[in-house]
Formats: sequence, C-alpha cells, structure tokens
Amino acid sequence: MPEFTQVIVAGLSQGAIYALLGLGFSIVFLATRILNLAQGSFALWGGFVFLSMVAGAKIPLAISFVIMLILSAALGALTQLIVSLRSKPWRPISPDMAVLSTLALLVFFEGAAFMIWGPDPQRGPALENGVFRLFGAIVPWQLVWMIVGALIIATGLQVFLRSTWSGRAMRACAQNPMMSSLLGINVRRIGVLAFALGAMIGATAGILVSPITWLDYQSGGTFALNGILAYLIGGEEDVAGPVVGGFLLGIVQSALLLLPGTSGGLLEQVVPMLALIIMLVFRPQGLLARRI
Amino acid sequence: MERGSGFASVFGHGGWLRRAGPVALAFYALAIWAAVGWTGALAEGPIKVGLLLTYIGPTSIFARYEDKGARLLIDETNKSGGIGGRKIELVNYDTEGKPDRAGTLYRRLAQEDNVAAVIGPDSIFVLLGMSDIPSEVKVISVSSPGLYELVAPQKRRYIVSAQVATTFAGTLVLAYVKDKFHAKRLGMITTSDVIGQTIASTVGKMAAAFGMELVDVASQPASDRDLLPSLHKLATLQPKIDALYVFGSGPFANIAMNQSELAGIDVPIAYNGGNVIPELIKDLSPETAKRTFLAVARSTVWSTLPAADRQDPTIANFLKDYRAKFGEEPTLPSAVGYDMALPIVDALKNVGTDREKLTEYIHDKQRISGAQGIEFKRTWADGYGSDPAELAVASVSDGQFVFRGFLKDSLRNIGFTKEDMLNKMRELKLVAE
Amino acid sequence: MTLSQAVAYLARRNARFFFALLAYAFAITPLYFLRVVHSDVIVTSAIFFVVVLGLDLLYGCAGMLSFGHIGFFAVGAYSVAVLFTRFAISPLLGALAGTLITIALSYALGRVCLRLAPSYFMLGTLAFGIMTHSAITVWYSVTGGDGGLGGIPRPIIGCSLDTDLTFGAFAAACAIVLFWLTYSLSRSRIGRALRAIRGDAVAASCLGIHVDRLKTNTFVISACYASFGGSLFAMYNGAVHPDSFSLGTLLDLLLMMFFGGEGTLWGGLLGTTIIRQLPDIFGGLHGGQVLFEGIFFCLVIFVLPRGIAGAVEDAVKRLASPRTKAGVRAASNIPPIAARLQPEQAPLLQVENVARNFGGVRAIDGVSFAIHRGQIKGLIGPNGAGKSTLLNLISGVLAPDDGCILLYATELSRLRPDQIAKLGIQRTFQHERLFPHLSIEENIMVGEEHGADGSLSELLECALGSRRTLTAERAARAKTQAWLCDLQLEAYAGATTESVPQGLRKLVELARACAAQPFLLLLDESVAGLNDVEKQAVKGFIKKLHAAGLAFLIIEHDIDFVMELCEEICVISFGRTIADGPPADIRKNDAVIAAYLG
Repeated sequence: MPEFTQVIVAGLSQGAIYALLGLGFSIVFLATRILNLAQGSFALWGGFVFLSMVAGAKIPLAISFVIMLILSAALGALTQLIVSLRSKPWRPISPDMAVLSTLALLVFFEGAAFMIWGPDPQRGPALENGVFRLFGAIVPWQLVWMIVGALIIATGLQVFLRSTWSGRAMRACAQNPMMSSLLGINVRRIGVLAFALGAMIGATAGILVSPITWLDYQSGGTFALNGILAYLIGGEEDVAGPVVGGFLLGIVQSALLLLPGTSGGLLEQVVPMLALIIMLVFRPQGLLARRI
Repeated sequence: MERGSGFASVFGHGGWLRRAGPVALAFYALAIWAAVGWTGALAEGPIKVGLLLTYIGPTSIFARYEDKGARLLIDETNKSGGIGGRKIELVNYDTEGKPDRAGTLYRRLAQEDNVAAVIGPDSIFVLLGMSDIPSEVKVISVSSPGLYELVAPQKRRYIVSAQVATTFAGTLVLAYVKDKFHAKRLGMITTSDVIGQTIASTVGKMAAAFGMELVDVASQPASDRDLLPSLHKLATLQPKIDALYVFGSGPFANIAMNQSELAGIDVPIAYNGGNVIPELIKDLSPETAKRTFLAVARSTVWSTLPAADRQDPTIANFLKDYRAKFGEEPTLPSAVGYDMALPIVDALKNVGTDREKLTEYIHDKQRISGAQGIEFKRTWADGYGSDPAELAVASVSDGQFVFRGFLKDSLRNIGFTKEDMLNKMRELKLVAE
Repeated sequence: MTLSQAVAYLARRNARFFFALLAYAFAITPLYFLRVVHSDVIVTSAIFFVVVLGLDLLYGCAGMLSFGHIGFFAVGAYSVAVLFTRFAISPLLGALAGTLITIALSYALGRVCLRLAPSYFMLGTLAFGIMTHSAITVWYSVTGGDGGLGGIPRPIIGCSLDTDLTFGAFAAACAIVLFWLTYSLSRSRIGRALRAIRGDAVAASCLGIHVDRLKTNTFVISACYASFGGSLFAMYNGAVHPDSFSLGTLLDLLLMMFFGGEGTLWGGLLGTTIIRQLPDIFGGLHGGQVLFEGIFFCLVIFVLPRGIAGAVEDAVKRLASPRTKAGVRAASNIPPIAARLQPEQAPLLQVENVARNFGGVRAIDGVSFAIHRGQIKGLIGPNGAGKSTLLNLISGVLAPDDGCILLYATELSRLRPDQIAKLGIQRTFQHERLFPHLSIEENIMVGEEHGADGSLSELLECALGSRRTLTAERAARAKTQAWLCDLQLEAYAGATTESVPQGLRKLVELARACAAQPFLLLLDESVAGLNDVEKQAVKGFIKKLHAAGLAFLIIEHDIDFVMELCEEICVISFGRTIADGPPADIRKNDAVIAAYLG
C-alpha cells in the first residue's frame, strides 16, 4: 500500500507540473493557433530567476513571486511580439514559420540561460520544507503545493475563459481571427495577453518544480515536450484537457518506474512518445474533445 | 528558348572571364602553395600535447577542475624552461560528451596536430566508445575514467588511467563500512546504465566476500531528478538495512544523499564516485553530512590528515601553487588533472618526443607519485597504475571534507590484505587482465 | 532529342549544381591548407550534407517540415553499429539493412503523419525522433545504451578507407551523386509538382498531381537520405553514442538547412560546413556556442528566412537581365479538341440528383443538369446558392452524399481530383490559387505537364534525367511560352506570382487550366474583379477555345457576360435548380427574377 500511495503522489505532483505546462500551451494555442515551443523556456526562466532572487538576492518568497509574475508576463509579451513580427490579423504567419520561430527562441533562451547561470543544475527553494506521512508513504509538502497550485490556476483559468470578456474574446480569436478583427476585437492585444498568461503559468510551473527536480539550462526542451504531450493527450478542451492529460501522463510515468530493473526507465520515455503517435493516429482531438 | 540559369547570365557571355580567368587561377594556385609552405614551417617549435576533456554536460564540472590542474603543471614546466628549451603547447578540444566526436578529435590530434601524447578523455562513457582509436593512431592517452577496469586488456597499451579504479575504491569503502559500523545488511542505489549495474554486481559480490549481504539494489536512470521511489523502497526493507551504498556522479548522487533523509533512511551512507567537489556537497543537510562517508585521495583532506602523513612534498607544493594561481582550494578533480599531465611531462623530460618511447616509458619504467597522493606503478600485466589502498575516507563538515581514516587500515581490521582482496576479485572474475 | 542535346540541356538547366560545387571547392581548399578548416570538418560536412539534402527536398520542395529525420539518421547509424558488433556484418551491408528498415519505418510514419495538419505533422515526427533517441539510450542490451558502441571499421571498397582522404573522397562522391540526383529532381516536373503541393495542395490535386502518393514517396526517399547519412556517420567515427542523435543534433540539422537556405539545395553545402566549423571557431567558449546557435537561428528565421543561399539567389535574380522573348511569336497553342472526342449525342457531363450536406446544412439538395460536347453552360444564382460547392463536387474536391456525376459513362463521385483531372476536367477557383513557390511560367508548366503520378519510377526517371523526360520538358516549356504569348504575358514569364497584378493572375490561372488540355473547363468567377478591357480579353479567349471544341461551365455574377457567352444557363438557389435553359428563357423566367435577377 505505501508503495502504491508513493507512486500516486509522485505521479500526481509531476503531473501537476505537466498540467501547468500544458495549460500554458493551451492558452497560447487557443488564442493564436501557434504551438509555442518556447513555453518550456518560460518555465525554465521563471524557476531560475526566482531562485536567483530568493537564494542570491535574499528577497522574501512572496515578493519574489510577484516580481517573477511580472517579469514572466513581460517575457511572454516580448515573445509574442517577436514571433508575430511579420504577420497581420488577416494574414497570419504560416504554422511552419510560427513553430520554427518559437523553436529558435527556445534555443536562444537556452543559450542565454547557459551564459547567465552556467551549466550546472541548480535547485530552487521549496515553498515549504518538510514531509508528512500519508498511508505509510512519505510526502514532501512541496508536492502538495504543486498539486494545489495547479488546480487553483486551472480553475482560475476556466473562470477567466468562460466568464470574462477578455476570455471569451480569446476563444473567438482562435476560431476566426479575421472576423474577430472586423468585430472590433484587437487580435494583437489578445495575442499578447495569451502569451503573457501562458508565460506566467509556465513560470509558476518552473518555480514549483525546481526544488524537487533540479533545473539546468537544457530543461527548457524537456518542459516543452512534456507540456505538449500533456496538451495533446488531454485534447483540445481548453482547460480540462491539459489538466487531465498532465495528471495522466504523470501517473503513468510514475507507475512505469515500479517495474523491476531498468525496463521502467525504458518505458518511461518511450511510452509517452508512442502514446502521442497513437493519439495522432486514432484520436487527434485528444481524449476529451467531443467533436469529430 | 529556355531561360538559362540566372547565375550564368550574371557572368555575361564570357568575354572578360576568358582573359582574366587564367591569371586569377595562377594567383590562386600560388596562394595555396604559399599556405602549404607556411604551415609546414610552423611544424618545429613547441611540443604539442593534446587536452581532450568534456566541457559541456553534467560531467563538465569535473572537467573544469581537471583542466585547471593540468594547466598548472604545464605552466610551471614552461616557466622553468620547458623541455630541452622547447615549451609545451596544449591543443585543447571539447568532446561534448560524445565518444564519436572524441574519437574524431583524437585522430585529429594525432594526425593533423601531431601531438606527442593526449591528456584525456575524462569520462568512462566517452573512453569506452573510442577505446580503439589510441591503439589505431599509436598515441598514448592518459585519461581519468572512473572505471578503467572496463577497458579491454588488449587496448590498455595506449590508454592509462590517472584516476583510482572505482571497483577497487568501492570495495575498500565496503571494508570501512564493515569495520566501523559492523554492518551486515546493505542497501544500494545506483544508476540504471551499464556502469551503474556493473558496480552493483561488484559491490554485491565483494560485500559477500567481506561477510555482508547486499539486500537490495534500486536503480533509476542517471538523468532522473526524483529518487524518492527508489529510496523509499530501500527504507522500508524489513529488517532494516545497516548502511546505504550510493553510486553515481553528478547530481544523481547528490540528490540520492539529500533525499535519503526525506525517505526515512538514517543509517550511514557510503559513497563512491566523482562527487568529491564542494559544489556537490554544499546542499547536504548537517544531519546527512554527518553520516556520509566518501572515498577520497589524500590531497583532498590534506589539512585534516594526521601530521605524520603530511610529509609528501608533491602534494604540499601542488596545493600551494594551485591556491596561488587560481585563488581557490584545489579539489579532487584538480589533483586528477594534475596527475594526468604529470606522467606525460615526466616522460617527455626523460625520453623526448618520440611517441613509441613515451608509451614504453609510461608503461614500463615510470614510477611517480602524484598530487592525489597515489603512486603510479604500471606494469604490462596491471594497467591500472594507481594504488587505491592509499585512499582515505572522509566525511563532510561545514562544507569541508574531513579525514576519518585510511582505507588500508579498515581492510586490515577486517582481516584482509591487499593481495587477498585482489585474489578474491580475480576469483570472482571482477577484473579482466 | 539527341544524346548531346540532352546532355547540353541538362547541364544548362542544372547549372547551379556546377557553380555551387566549384565555388565550394575554391573556398574550402585554401582554408584547409591554412589549417583553418580541419579535414574531419570537411568530411562530416559532406556526411551531414547528405542528410540536409533529404530534409531540403522534403521541406524546401514539398513544404513538409519533419522533426523525425534525426530518428532515421539514428537508425542508419545504429544498424551499421549493431550489425557489426553483434553479427560481424560488414558496414556497407549494415547500411543497406538500415536503409531497408528506414523505408519500412518511414512508410508507416508517413501514413500516420502526412495527412495531419502541419503543426501536428511536426509533432508526430518529433515524437518519432524522440522515441528513437530514448529507445537507443535505454535498450542497452542491444545498443550499448549510454556507453554506445565502438570499434566500427571503415568499409572496404577496393582498399580499406582508413584515412580521412580516402573516406572523405568516398563520402564526397556519394554526396555529389545524391546532390546531382536531387537537384535534377527538383528542377524537373516532380520538383514543380512538389512545390505546387507546398503552395496549394488542393489546386495541385486538381491539376492531376497524385498528392498523397507523391508526398509519401518523397517522405520515404528523404528518410533514406537521412539513414544513409547516419550509416556514413557511424562508419567515419567508428563509434555511435545516443548523445549524437539527440535533439541537439536535430537542431543542428535544422539550422544547417535554414541557415544555408531552404529550397535551394546547394545552400546545404554552406550550412553544413559553417555549423560543423562552429566548435572550432568558439574553441574554449563552450557556452558561447550554444548562445550563438540560438542567435543564428533567430537571425535566420526572422531576418533571412530564405537563408544565405536564398539571399544570393534573390540577388542574382535582380542582377540578371530579364529576358523578354520578343520577336518569335509561336503558333497558337490552342489544340483542336474536337478531334479527340468521339462523336456522341449523349451529354459530356451529367449531374444527376446530387446532394451534399455540411453538418446540418443541406448545401446542395438534388441538383441535376447536363453539359453537352463543346457547349458553354452558365451557372448562376444568389450568393450561398451552392455554385462553388457544385464545382467542388464535379472536380472531386468534395464527394457527394447522394446522386451521381457522370463523365460520359464514368462515375466521378468516387474518384480523386487528380484522376478526374486526367479524365479531362479542369477548373479555376473563386479566389485564384496560383502556386506561390513557382514562377508564372512554371505554374503553367504544371498544367502543361499534366501534373505528376508520384510513383517511384517517375521520381527515378526525373532524377536521372532520361531523354524522354527532358524532351517532354523542353516541349512543355515551348508550349508554355506559346500560351504566354497568346495572353500577352511573355514579360511575366519568370516573375513570382506575388509581383503580378490580380487581373493577370486570373488569366494565368485560366491558362494553366487550359494547358492541361481538358474537354471541360469549370470556371469559378474568372472575371470577378477584372476591368472591362480585361473582361473582353477573357471573353475572346473563351470564344477561341470554344471554337476549338472545349466545353465550359461558367459561374459568374456579371449577368451580361453570362448572357452573351453562354448557350445554356442553369440557375440554382438554396441548393436547388430553379431554371435551366437558353439565356432568353432565363431572362423572362419569373422564379429566376424573383430569386436573383430581381
């Protein structure tokens, strides 16, 4: 029983991070139809800057967090600006170039992270240290924070998208940018908002995960990949999709580790990718989406 | 009718090309001939030695120290006149952690840069992948892999190690654990790759030879950052384990040691691997630090060695010079780097730059003791070269390594001599010769 | 065409191949002797050039960006390594085995991913690439895992290719041969067909290009390039290790292609050499290299999207004098069509009770009409009546839910658009769909060449430049010139589609459809947006074609135009036929007046 609980807890916490990364993807994709590979960099930079502020400059946790949110929103807005340098609302950039632009930015951010923080993995401060016992399993408090944080953000996002004007405008833009533009929605501003939100969510993910999983300059790529997986598995439902996909991915990866010997390690990496390809074949709309 | 290639039309229809062409071609050929002559003239001059380490990736942190250690010796040598009036020039490349790239660069060092010998490579993974190449190009490599034992015997002529063999060191640490803690049941956490699994098998067999039982081995990929599942599995074994053996370099071991407390493991931790640098122990909580014991070279714990053992001038000078040059305390990898360059410099001084002579000397005749405080005695039969019984065991206190004892003493206390241990390892086929 | 003529034609058409190689040789030689560029950089550049050729064929020509080629690269390399270390199979045979495995894998992956939208295609191939990397890292009983596999010998061809010089010559020879074949392919009708697909797959299909088959075959072939490159890589290094097949290498490959210049093929020479040289340029600043690659990448994507080679080609095009083919006015192209059809009384095209739904909306609700041989039929009706949908149904872009469409006795409803095109039906589109990656002349040539089959034999023939294909190409070019002259568009022959004004673009689209020599031409608002002069030109052109025996189905909102030109007019409204007869009757029809003319 304790081993089982351990696996579930580990899976849920890791899944929470995947869910957050997937949410970041989702909101950007939803508003701009761009698959933003630089999302991973947002998480990376969020984590790094946060730990520099807390561990290096000794700024208190809460203030660091707020500064972090502002900085990451700015980073997100900047990314949107660069990516859509050449596009107009009635002539959006081709999907190839959009993904390539975000890929280029991902590589650039990786290099910049290397220059600023060096090649060594670093560990962020935990929001709360210590552990407690749950059904015989050991649970660090940080894991609870990860899960709770993800759920709070997901709920907030859901409310935003359904109930506020900006949120609904965002969903309209995705479906028909030209029409939205004609209807008076400032498509560019919505894009900036989406990227900023996505960056903030990504940065939060980076902050939450850095005490457990160390960060190094190459983490951006891993984060991006996991986020995409979570998003694709869950499907195109804006919020529920990434959340379900993320948690599922986390639990499956965690459970695979239970298998004896090293085969767990093998499957942990191969199975998600295989799942992705199978998804793309049989159910490209993901697990949750209803439309054909 | 067709539109020809736009390129052709830019050149017009060849009028001026036909006249200017041959002249330009002549100049071009002349320039190439001059270039060949000029680079040929550069051949005489400094003695070139290759420096081939891994500067990117998780093991790069060690390479940076090794680089410093090696350069310290080369600079000192050059300052005191070089070798027969010629200075030593280091030709430095980055393996990027890839054996195929390392192999290509090794060939380049041998064939295009004409080095006398190569310092490096510095990781067992890289070395294994390119272990044919030194024999192919007949240039000796003084490397620092953790597991030199895995290099096939027929390739050991052109590859020697400046680092203690991990299997030996690991076995000696087991002796310490048995001696000081009277442990009977051991748990082990290691990486799930070839190296980690080989070590696990060795530890299991030698523990049995010393009268202990390796109850369980938990493995995870070296890149994993959350080791709680494995640690928890070990913590909940019944009856409880008496000691935990950790293997792994880089963040893996550090995470294992840190998370062990979270998992509820409160028994001594025996560690063997490359983690003996300050960066990787600075995060250890005081509780964990007190009960962690690492195999270290003497130079790492120099200040806390008993006075009687602090007589080696090589080590004392190394520490002094390193501090003066770099303004920081040397670490174990720094000493390893120094010890990688040392055999080459010593050989150059004694037999000159001929590659075959250098190789023969380093294998056959060289007897030196380096900055780690380990003696290099290489014979044809035993390519390891370094005597791990000179290792010490240390624990961590206030971010410093503190001497706790000599491993050879523990070995003696549990009733084994070094020959007994070697024989046992041969018997269990743990070493290839 | 005699052999010497064919060789001369081929050499002239593929001139860029020779220029690029010569320039490269000239530049590299002094750099090598000055020890600036080492021999292993040159050899590995050749090896990576092979892979980039494949990538560029797939993206630069066909517009498909695959992130999975790193996986095929790994398969090629590890096949050589594993087969040698486990079974002592020679590296060349290992390479062959690797290629066979790659063919199977890429075919399967292609079937899965090629029908996805571009973003998902990239993701799907990326997943494959990562999966391969994970598999080789963790399956260490076979692949050696993190330790890699070493000891791979050089192949023996005559002698053992032990030195950099001999192996380099071998690799360079392979690269040059593949470069020639690929370049030839990209300049042939297959290259034009691929670029057509890249620009607009639907229009490409309607011109007779078998899109699916061509895409799949191109994908498989480009995967084979990657696999062969991987095998060469393993043979050269003598060892393989998972880190050499990770995302970092994928990024390097992408950078090589984009920095060099996607679509140019020869840009790969530049891209590979410069990227391979980077570690030597940066020496000790290892982090600097990572940052630099990121900056490079950003620069290319945002500032120089066509890469260096692309910029060079653009500059050359500006410098080169535009050649106007004034003077020789070729004989008119318009072929006598009547002679090719059997004398029949039955209608050429019969639309019977066709229906089509979109979700809950019944866009076409039981429409029936007929077009006879050589007849000009009009199709008019209010907006949203379903006229364009009808054209889509006839041309095969959509399938009818009910009813049938017959071309003489052939049932069209289950055929692909390219099959229907080959049967003799061509069309234009409501919003003109020229291929943006082809020049005006090349657009028309696609029509003239009747698209492409996409079969492997066709690909091979075009790559090798058989005399048959060259003769056909030269003839097609000549006929295209004639079409351009007919429409007085000779000055625009080499221009890009963007630089041509809207009205003329529609004319080009019309010419493109006619060049395919159809029996029946479906025109969707061909004169919308044209001024009167242009409209008269089009009308004259249609009349000339009609005189030669071509049948028309014309959708138009300009009622006078329709009434003047058409022999019969069909009026539909809300997906139903409300009238069908000669113009005079239609003009007086109450229902029509109420619904439309009003």
